[in-house]
Formats: sequence, structure tokens, C-alpha cells
Amino acid sequence: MKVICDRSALVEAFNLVGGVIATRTPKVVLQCIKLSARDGVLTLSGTDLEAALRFSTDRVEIEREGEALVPADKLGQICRESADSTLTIDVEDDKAVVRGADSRFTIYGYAPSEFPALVDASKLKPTFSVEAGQMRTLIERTLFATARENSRYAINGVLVKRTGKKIDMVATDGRRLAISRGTCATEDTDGEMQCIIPTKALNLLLKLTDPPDRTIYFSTVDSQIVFLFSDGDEDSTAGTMLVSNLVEGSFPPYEDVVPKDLDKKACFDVDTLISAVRRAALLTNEESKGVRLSFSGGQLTIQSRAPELGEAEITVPLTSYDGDDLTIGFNPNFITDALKRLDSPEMTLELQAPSKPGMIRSGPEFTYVLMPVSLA
Amino acid sequence: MYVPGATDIQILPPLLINQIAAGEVIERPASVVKELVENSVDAGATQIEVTIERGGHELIQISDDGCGIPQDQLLLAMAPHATSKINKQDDLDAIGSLGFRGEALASIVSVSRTTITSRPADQETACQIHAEGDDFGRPEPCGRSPGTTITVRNLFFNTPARRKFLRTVQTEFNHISELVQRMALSHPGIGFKLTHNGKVTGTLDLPPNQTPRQRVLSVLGREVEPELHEVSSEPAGDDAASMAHHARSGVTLWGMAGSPGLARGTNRYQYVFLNGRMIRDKTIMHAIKEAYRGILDPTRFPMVVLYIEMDPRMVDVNVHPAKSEVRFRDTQVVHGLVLSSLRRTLLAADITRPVSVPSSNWSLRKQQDRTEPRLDFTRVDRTSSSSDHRPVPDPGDRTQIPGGSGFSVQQARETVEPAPPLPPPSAADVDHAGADGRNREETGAHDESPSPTGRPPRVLQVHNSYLVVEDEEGIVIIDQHALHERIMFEDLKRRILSGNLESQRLLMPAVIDVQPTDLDVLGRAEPLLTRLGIEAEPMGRRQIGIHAFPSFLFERNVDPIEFTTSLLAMVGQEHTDGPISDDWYTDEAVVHDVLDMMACKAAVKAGDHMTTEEIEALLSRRGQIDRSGSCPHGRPTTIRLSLTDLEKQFERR
Ligand SMILES: Nc1ncnc2c1ncn2[C@@H]1O[C@H](COP(=O)(O)OP(=O)(O)OP(=O)(O)O)[C@@H](O)[C@H]1O
Ligand SMILES: [Mg+2]
Repeated sequence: MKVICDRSALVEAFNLVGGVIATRTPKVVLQCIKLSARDGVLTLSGTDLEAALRFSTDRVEIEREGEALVPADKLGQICRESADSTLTIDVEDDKAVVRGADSRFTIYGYAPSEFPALVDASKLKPTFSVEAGQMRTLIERTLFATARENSRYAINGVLVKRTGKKIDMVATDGRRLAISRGTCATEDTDGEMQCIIPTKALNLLLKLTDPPDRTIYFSTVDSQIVFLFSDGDEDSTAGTMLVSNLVEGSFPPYEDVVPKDLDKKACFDVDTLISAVRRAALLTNEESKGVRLSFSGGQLTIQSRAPELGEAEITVPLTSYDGDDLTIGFNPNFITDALKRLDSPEMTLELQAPSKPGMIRSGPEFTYVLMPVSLA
Repeated sequence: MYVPGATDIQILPPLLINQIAAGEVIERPASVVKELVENSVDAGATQIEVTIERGGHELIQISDDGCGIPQDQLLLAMAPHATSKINKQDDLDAIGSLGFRGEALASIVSVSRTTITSRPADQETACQIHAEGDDFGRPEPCGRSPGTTITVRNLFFNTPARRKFLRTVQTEFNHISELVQRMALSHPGIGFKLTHNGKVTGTLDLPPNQTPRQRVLSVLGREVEPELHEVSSEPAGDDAASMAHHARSGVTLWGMAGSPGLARGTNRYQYVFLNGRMIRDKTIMHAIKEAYRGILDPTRFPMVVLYIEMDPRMVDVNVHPAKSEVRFRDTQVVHGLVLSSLRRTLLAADITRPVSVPSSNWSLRKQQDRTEPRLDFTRVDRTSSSSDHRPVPDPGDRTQIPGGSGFSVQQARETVEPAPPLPPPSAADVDHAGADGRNREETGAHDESPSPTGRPPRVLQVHNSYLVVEDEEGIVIIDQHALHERIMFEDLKRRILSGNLESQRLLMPAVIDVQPTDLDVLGRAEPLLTRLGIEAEPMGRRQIGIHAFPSFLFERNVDPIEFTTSLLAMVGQEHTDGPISDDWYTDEAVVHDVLDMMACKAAVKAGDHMTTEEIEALLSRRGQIDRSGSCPHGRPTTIRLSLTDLEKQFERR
């Protein structure tokens, strides 16, 4: 294999594919990136066996088609550190020679056949697609509410649920639940699909949502999900591809925890509430996380208190409030996490009782249920 | 051999009676020494000399300058049940002497060749009597200054079965030496001298009239002095309430408690003296263990010397022939006094463990290892140029710690610019260190805690597990997990005293599968769970649902199901087969263990990378926390390598 490649394309490839490649693995081939030059396109692939990413570029001149498997960090560093506009990569006998204007690197690689086989994209039949900009919003409004690690108690992934042309994404860490709703394009208007995508894959997918008008095609095979991308009229099967294992297990019955009998409703200006909660959170600490929200006399007072540190009190004007007075405690991050991701200026917070869930809504696309804390 | 029914019942001959009695108290040469030294102590001696030949197989001789035995009572002294120390039943209730059974001399005489030479001060000459088994000689006058000498030869000469059990000369002598040490500790005012085969043993040539402190240090060795902390039932401050309490209970205590570093695998170095008598008592052992709970691995035994004085009527010493077991009238008072006195001392003491480095491991010359350790160089500050106040020996010479870490002691003390980390840093590392450095300059913290060199201290996180900092004595190495765990533990303990922990409710209950017996445990643990911020309820007979869980444990990524499962197991176990049934301290133990588990699960782990801010926050808490020198399991959090240690290791002196 011999290619002359645009260096910035290589850097972009390494930035994306490098996000998948496992750096601490005893299996050396998993620390490698696979290059294959064919039909005028250079494809770079990496995997950690949980997820795999294939990135293609045509900013390349192929002198000799072929494949190579090379340690990713070294090749990546060479590409980043180099100042040349193009680099020549010449591979023979598993040995890659990278040449720039004033440089020549020889890197010992491995037999390309040792790289695990990825899904054959040409055999996939995507059932629906989502516009990248919309996908970004769906992910951003749910990913934050996932649990940090898989455990017996919580799932480290986001539920994707398609019903016809509607697509919902749902995430929970057991203490709050975020539901983000959108639409997809599909021929299969009666079809349904449901799966849990690991957070790692969603973080990678987020990086692939640019440009926002590109189309992301969804397919599921075995227990994997495959995302293919097309920008305008490009052939989707040859281009970039993200594959991920799905999270096993069932998602908790989330519809049951969305409360229906909330009798107190406050409307806020989003920025005002964010600012107030952030300031109240200044006087909290690890063991006394919560802030106290008191709705009374048409206004909201937010208080915090950290023993041995101090206290804060902030008054927040309410656009409107319906219902009896109420005092309830929340983890301030749980409030700001959600508010930060809204793009409309208005939101509502619905409540019932100090030990019952609260619900934040902003239009029909976003519902967020959060559980209170008991304040000492 | 005994044939049932073959012989009639008869009264045993006196010698045999005495030999059987001897079986109870005279086990080995050291027991003879114990009995004879006790007699000398009871006789009011100020100087006691113990002379041993061949581990006591050959000769045991004890000389004192005590009150002596009048000529006409010499024979009587050797008779069984003959004592001058008590004479009516009431005396038994308030024994003020070590001996009282009137058995010891009779027992010794029955199994050896014994000579007693004694002269009371008011008697013109001394008198000597020899006895061998049941064969008593006639008292003969001889010369001697006031006092008593008892010579015991050929121990067990007439009881071959016993003789067979004697161990080697060295073993028997070790027992004797240990016994004499204990006797010497028990009576600091009496001079002791122990000679073996004509040689005086070093640690056992002790002058009379020592204070308890002097005696403890003479016996245990001067080198442990910095690690022994004084314990007293009368606190230094005017804690009037507790003074009054102890005055009422009539118990006082003084002693020395060793740092965790002095602890051993056996309880041999725990000396407890009650009214001058060495005792072994479970209650007191337990109190000692409790006091060290959390600063010492519970399987280790701290070095402790305690002198407890109380009205003899408050304790029964007539429990066991060897008199080392006692029965307190009020166990709780004694337990409470020992526990509170020790705790007070341990809380106040600086128990950072000094490191002991075997020189071969650290010797530069032997260090052949070329592998480069992965170092995470978290630089805290690069500014400041004030000079070093402290004299540094030969400051021109930079000595690198082997392994090419780039961290050198001299640098830590004198350089302004940090050395670049070695091995050659990757691009990412440089960025990291650079960014941290810049952050630090911007925030400009540390103003209030300058290092001994007058510069802000620098911190090194090694292998994402240990923090290395400089202090006024040298280098302090901190186990990040252990220190964080201790800090969390103390915080939690304080927080729990003032109310329930903040609790985060769950969207849906987290469900644990349990045995029906666990539901009982759940019921009993409920007050504790509420305190901790856990709300859990039975769901049927085989499940428990958790509805709320402490916020901070969530924050630290602790799984509610796993945690609550372990907690119930722990509580269940402590309640069913805990070693001690008295509830008054068991509960404290449960709470300790539970908080300990919380702290352990929530603390940073070894291997976790810490940001500069996190490291700073951790270190700034170190000084504010009680017992920061060890984690709640009692392992050290911190070890210190003093400049002196370093100079030794680098062979500067
Ligand atoms: N070194 C000594 N100096 C003065 N009197 C002694 C000495 N040794 C023994 N006696 C006298 O001999 C008596 C008998 O001693 P012995 O050790 O047999 O009994 P005890 O000390 O009274 O009781 P115990 O059997 O509990 O030790 C003592 O009560 C004491 O009066
Ligand atoms: Mg005696």
C-alpha cells in the first residue's frame, strides 16, 4: 500500500478513531489503527471490541492499493507533530514508512488480517434516519442523566425508542430521568425499535453530528447498532461508520415514574433560575449537596447551608405559580444539568410534596423528572 | 498404673501434697523467680538481685534488703499454708500484698534443694536453713547484712516428670528475663539486677528510686521514647467532671502508650499493673483494642504500659493460683477509664509513622534497576525564590533518588525551577503539568501554609496512589486512599452526631434479594439506617427496596444495592456472633465499622488520578483531622522520611 494523504485529513481521522482505540489493553492489535486504500478512498478503522469507528477520506492519492495495521498513537503523533501539508505512507511487509518533506519514520506494524472484522456495511438495510443536528439535541438532552458506570443498580446507556416516525431517547441514573423527543425519516411508518446504546458510543456519535444537515442511518444487527453517515449525495456504505455493542438488559419501566398528579406548577425564565441555583450551590459541599426551594407568596427562595462553611439565600421571581406553598430540597446540579440544555427561554417546574418527584418541562420535546433530597 | 478399686483411700504424705501444690504455681524456673521476687517485694526490699546459672536449671538465687525472716520463723516460712500477710477472712477481701496464700516457699522447697539465709534488721546475725524435699536441716547462724537470700538448686530434682519439661537454658532464661523485666516495671522504686552465668544483663541493672517514666524507658529502651505517649486518668486540663468521677470510683491510672509503629503481633508488650501486680485481664485488653481501633490494624497489639491503682476491696485477686487473673467489682469503670485515658492521649499525639528503610533496598550502589517508574508529576507551584532558612549539609551536591524520577530531595529543598520530569514527557504530560502550573499561579493559594523552606510546598502524585510532600522534618509520603478515607470517616462521624445524613430519594426502589432473616436485621438496623440517610423497606419476605440513599455516596459513585447489602451483612454479623455480648460498646463498634465501610467505599482509590485542586483540598484537611496518621482500619496514612534518615541512607553520616 502506498498513499499520499492530506495531513489535516489524517489528523481528523486520528482524532475521531483515536477516541475508540483502547490505550490500556494487553492486545496490541487493539492499540492499532487499520488503514486500507481502495477505489480512491483511504479508510482508517479502530476498535476496542465494544465499539468500532471507520473513517473515510478521499483527500488522498493512492499509488498502490492495500492494507496496513499500525500502532495508532505513534502514527497519530507523527501526523499531529508534522508541519507538512501531505504525508506519504508506504507499507510493505507490515512495516510503514511515513515520509514528509524533511522526515522519514519507519514504524513496525502487524499483519492487517489480525484486525477484527467489522460489520459489512453493504449488507445493512437501515430502517430509519435522523438528521445530525436533531441527533445532537437528542443526545445532549439525555446523555448527562446516565449513570457514570454500569452497576447492578443503574444502566450506563441511553434508551432509543422508535415508534413510526417518532424517536424518543431516555436516560436515567436512578435519581432523575430525562426524556427527549424527536422525529426520524422512515419508510416503515408502523415499525418499532428499542435498544440501549452505551454512553461511550453516544459520545463518539456526538462528534460525528457535524455538519448538522448530514443524515445518520440506523441499523441493528445481532446485538450491535450501526450508524452510517451521508453528506449530500455521497454513497453511505463506503463512508464513515460507527458500530457499537448494545447494552444488555432491560430499561426500567420509565413511563411509570413520570408523575401525573402534580398539583403545583411554577413557570420560570430559564437563565434566571440557572443563575439563582448556581449561586445557591456555592455554599454546598459534598455531604450537604442539596438546596432548599421554598415557594411562598408568589416567589421562590433558594437556600443552601453547608455546616462549617456558611449559608446562602437567593430570591427568584416567578413568571407564575399555581398551587399551595411548598418547600422541597434538590441537588442543584440536577436542576442546572437539565436547564443548561434547553434552548427555549421558558420552562415549567411541577411539584407535589417534599418527598415526591418534581418535573421540569420545556415544550413537548423535553421532560425531566427529578427526585428530591431530604434536607438535614 | 492406677487400677480402679485396687487401692484404699489414704491421706497423702505432706511432701506429695506440697509437690502437687507446686504443680499449680511452680511450672518452670521463671515461676520460682516470680514467687521469690514477689516475696522480696512484699518484704519491702529496695534492691533485689537475681542470680541465675544455666537458665535456672542449676541455680536460682534471690537476694533482697527487705525486712528479713526472724530466726524462729524460718522453718515456719517453709511450711505450707504459713503466711505473715493475712490472718483472717476479712483480709482476703482487701489484699495489699502480692503473696497471701502461704504456699510458695513450701512448694519450692518440696521440689528443689533450697537454702534460706535471712536477717531482720534488729537481729544480731543472720541465720541459715537448708531444705531438700521434706528433709529440713537445722538453722545455723551465719553472717549477712539485713535482708534475705534464697538459693534454689536442682529444681525438680525429685520430680523427674517435671524436669523433663524444662526447655533449653536459653529459653528458660528468656522466660526469667521477661519475668524480671515485668517485675521491674511493676515496681519502679525498687532496684533490680539480673545476672546469668556470672554476667549482668544489660537492660536489667536498674537503679532504685526510678520514676515510672524512667523505669519504662530503661526497660523498653530509650529509642522508643519518641513513640511513647503518656497516659493519665487525670487529664492535663481541668476536666472537673471526669476528675470527680474517677475520684469517686477510686481508680487512678498512669501509663505510656506506644505509637502504632511499635505494635507487635503478640500481646506480650502490653503490661498492665494493678496495684503493683502484673495482670492479664480481658476487659482491659478490650479497652486497649478499642482505644486503638481505627489507628491500628485490629490484629496487631500496641505496646502499652498501664499502672492502675484502686482500693484493694474493689478487686478480687484470689481467682487463680498464679494471681494474674483478677475479678473487678465494677468492670465498666475500669474499661471506661482505660479507654478514655488512652483515647485522649492518642488523639493528642502525633502518630505519623517514621519510615524504616532497610538500607540495602535504598542503597544507590545496589540499585541496578533501570526501569523508569511512571511518575505523574503534578507540580503545585513554580514561583517564589525565598532562600532556605535551614542549614542543608553540603548544598552543592544533588543526590537523585534512584530510578531517574527527577525528584530529588535537594531540589525539593533548594531549587526554584522544577526539574523536568524524567522519563522524557509525552506531549500530553507536558500539557498537563503546564496547565496545572498555570492554574496554580492564577489561584495563588497556599499563602497561609508555607513550607519549612518558606516556599509553598510542592506535591508529587506518584503512580496515582501516593502523594509526596516536604515538611519541616523531611519528606512525608501519604497514601491518598488511606488519608482520604480517614478524613471522610471523621467527617461522617461528626456529621452523624449532629443529625441524619442528607439523603437522595430514588425514582424507583433499588431492590435487594435477601433471606427472611435479613428482614430482622433490617428492623434492628433501622435507626442506624435513618441516621445514615438510607430508607429501606421490606418488599415481601425475600426482597428489600431502597427508597433513599445518602447523597454523598451517590456523589462518590457508590452503588446503593451493593452498599446496603454489605451493610446489612455487617450489622447482622456484629449482632449475632460478635465477640462481646455487653451492648454498651458493641453498638459503638458497629457504627465504627459501618462508617469505616462508607468512608472506604467513598474515598479516592489507589490508582485514581487526582487534580491539583483535589490534592490541595486533601492535604489541607490533613492537619485539621484527628488521628490523620492512620486510616480507620489502623493502617498508616502517612510515613515520614526524616532528613536524618535520608542522610543515613545516602551515607552522608
Ligand atoms: N524475702 C523475704 N523476706 C521476708 N519475709 C519473707 C521472704 N520470703 C518469704 N517470707 C516470709 O515467708 C512467708 C511465706 O512465704 P510464701 O511465699 O510461702 O507465702 P506468701 O508470700 O505469704 O503467700 P504466697 O504463697 O501467695 O506467695 C511470707 O508470708 C513471709 O512472711
Ligand atoms: Mg509469696
